[in-house]
Amino acid sequence: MGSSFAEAKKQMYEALEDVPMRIGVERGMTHFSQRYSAVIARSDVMELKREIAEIRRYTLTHIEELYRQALEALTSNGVGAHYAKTKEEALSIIGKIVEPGELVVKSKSLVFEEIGLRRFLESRGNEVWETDLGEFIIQLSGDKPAQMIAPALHIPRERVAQLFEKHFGRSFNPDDLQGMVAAAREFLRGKIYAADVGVTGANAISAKEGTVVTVENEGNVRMTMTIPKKHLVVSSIDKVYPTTLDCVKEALAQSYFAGYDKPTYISLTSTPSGTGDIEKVIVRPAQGSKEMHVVLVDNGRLQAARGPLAGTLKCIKCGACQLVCPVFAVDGPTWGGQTYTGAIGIVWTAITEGVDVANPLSYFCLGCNACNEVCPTGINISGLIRWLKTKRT
Amino acid sequence: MPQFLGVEDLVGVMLQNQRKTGNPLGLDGARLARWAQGLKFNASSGTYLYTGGLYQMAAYIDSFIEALERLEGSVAGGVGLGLVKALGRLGINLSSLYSSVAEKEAVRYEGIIRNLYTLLVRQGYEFGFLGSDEQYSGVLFYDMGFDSEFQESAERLTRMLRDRGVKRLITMDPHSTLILKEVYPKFVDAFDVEVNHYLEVLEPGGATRSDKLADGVFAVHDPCLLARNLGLSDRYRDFALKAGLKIAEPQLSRRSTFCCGGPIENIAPRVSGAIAEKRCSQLGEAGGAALVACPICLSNLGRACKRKGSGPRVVDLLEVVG
Ligand code: SF4
Repeated sequence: MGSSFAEAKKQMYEALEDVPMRIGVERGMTHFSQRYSAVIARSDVMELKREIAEIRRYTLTHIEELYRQALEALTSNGVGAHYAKTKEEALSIIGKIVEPGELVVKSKSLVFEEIGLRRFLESRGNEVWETDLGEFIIQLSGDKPAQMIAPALHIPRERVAQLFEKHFGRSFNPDDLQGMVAAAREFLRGKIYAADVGVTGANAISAKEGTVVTVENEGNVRMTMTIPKKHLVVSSIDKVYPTTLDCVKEALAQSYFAGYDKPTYISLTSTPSGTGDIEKVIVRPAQGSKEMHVVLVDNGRLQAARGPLAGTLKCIKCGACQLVCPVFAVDGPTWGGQTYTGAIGIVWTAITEGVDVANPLSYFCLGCNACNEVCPTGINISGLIRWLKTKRT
Repeated sequence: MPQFLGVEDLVGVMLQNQRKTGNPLGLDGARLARWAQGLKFNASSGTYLYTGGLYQMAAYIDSFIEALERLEGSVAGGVGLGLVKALGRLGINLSSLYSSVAEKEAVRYEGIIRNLYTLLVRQGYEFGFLGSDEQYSGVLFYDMGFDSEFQESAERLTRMLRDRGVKRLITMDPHSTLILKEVYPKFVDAFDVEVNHYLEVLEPGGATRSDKLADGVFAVHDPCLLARNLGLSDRYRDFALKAGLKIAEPQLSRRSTFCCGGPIENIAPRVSGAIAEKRCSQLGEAGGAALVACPICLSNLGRACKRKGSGPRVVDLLEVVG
């Protein structure tokens, strides 16, 4: 009793001394706060906030019916559609889709981290590469992702240069961000073109149309989903929305509340690629993927939707709450579980790893409500964390 | 062997104090009521000034945290003292520790309450004070997720309020205000005491800048709950401006304010301190001294800014207007 709080406190104290981490997080938070103020000053963004909060109230109370409907729609689109109750089930389904030895490229998704996808594939002899730059840095460093949108937030440029030097076998100037990004681009493009399987997450999936919506700025998601012959989507049941239009609204909201004035790419993918250009006969694939599979992971969500932590399932993982959190500001990703860190990440940890794992972390919450203030879907984040504090084991 | 105590032990110390003395630091009621010596009260309307003990305790919090950390060192570090015995000793140590707190510090915080008293009287308010019987609200237990312990405090205070026929409370810190306004009605049957923060009650034009402390520019720090939950940011500024203070806005202000770190000072003082230092830098960048309106911000930021050396001077609104 109490020992795990003591252990967490020890780690929190140690993290305070991690100067590079603190520099990285500090820079990230400062940039975020400037961008965020500009975004929320827009009336269209505030209107979208109202809409998305409303949509999320609906999806939360209809979660089960929505994901079932999505599985049906996906199947009728010719997509392999699967529900996985647990991480283990998800991995076993994925193990049947991805052949041992295939080269796999991945975009960024916290659900992958949650189920331990990269480790699993590597353990079966798959070569796996992260195509999102932040995730690629994380792959090289061996850390857990620091934040929802910027997994390498805690790694300042100086450390990125060191990691790249080790990987690429040549030196990098930390101030030459262009040079570092170009090196990653060249290397990852090579892997994407050679890959057999492209794994992406989904920001949202429509129940009615079975359309997968992704939002990104790097362009890696589009390449990952279209160039390899197999496209595997691994997402979670809370990402299902009634219609494709709702999904696009979610994608925009996620991008805005992550501090971007507009997303670079939003992709809508409903079926494997095909062409009807010769006599209107559909032939697959054309230029994109030949096969498409979607795995919807539950891992505690359905149960959570019926209990005191239900509000969490309204989260669109924009990461805004993390980037205004004072505790996250000084302790970074140390304040969190295996996958989810800071603010709402403490509650996601409770759902995906257990309340007993999240309880000791909850006591570091200040209850200052900075998170509640920014959340686009109106989640009472600090209220949920306070509830976790009451769950002493 | 873990280096730190469990949360139950840390909160347990405060709970033990609360049960014994009516406040989590274990200060005696007479000391908490000392600010009111020689002042006249009139409780006939059922309105009372409720301090919640927070400003008074702020003078002693440093010593208390130090004692907790020492306890942690002796028990968790494996020196061999049993926890119960160590707690017993802590109880004894606390009183001697507290008596070594600079009188100047205690008087400073008491002055803040006396100043509020004066402002209220000047604007024609008549009110009572519960004196050394005034109980702590239990807000800390609620914030730490110790609900039944909070309930115990809430019921104890409510009984006292009912016994004295209290109908309305004028509060002076955001934490006691919010807990009484929003949480008490959920935990206590038929809690119908009206609760108002002094910034809701006092007319902004009715105060002027006082003494030499009020010179220069003040970077306004919005206490989190004051800004986000009580919505008093405008009123706070209005009050300062109409009293003739010059104010500056830090980068994170009003509802976007950045916490002083105070709420976890008892259980993780170093994390709390790191947050406070960060806020001190932000306030320092805005220029001038830092203005707060909360005893937790006042003591936590004050300490951190001093530690930093280059940090701004931190003062409470009730120290610079009168
Ligand atoms: S809880 Fe709200 S602010 Fe935090 S990541 Fe989720 S949607 Fe964004």
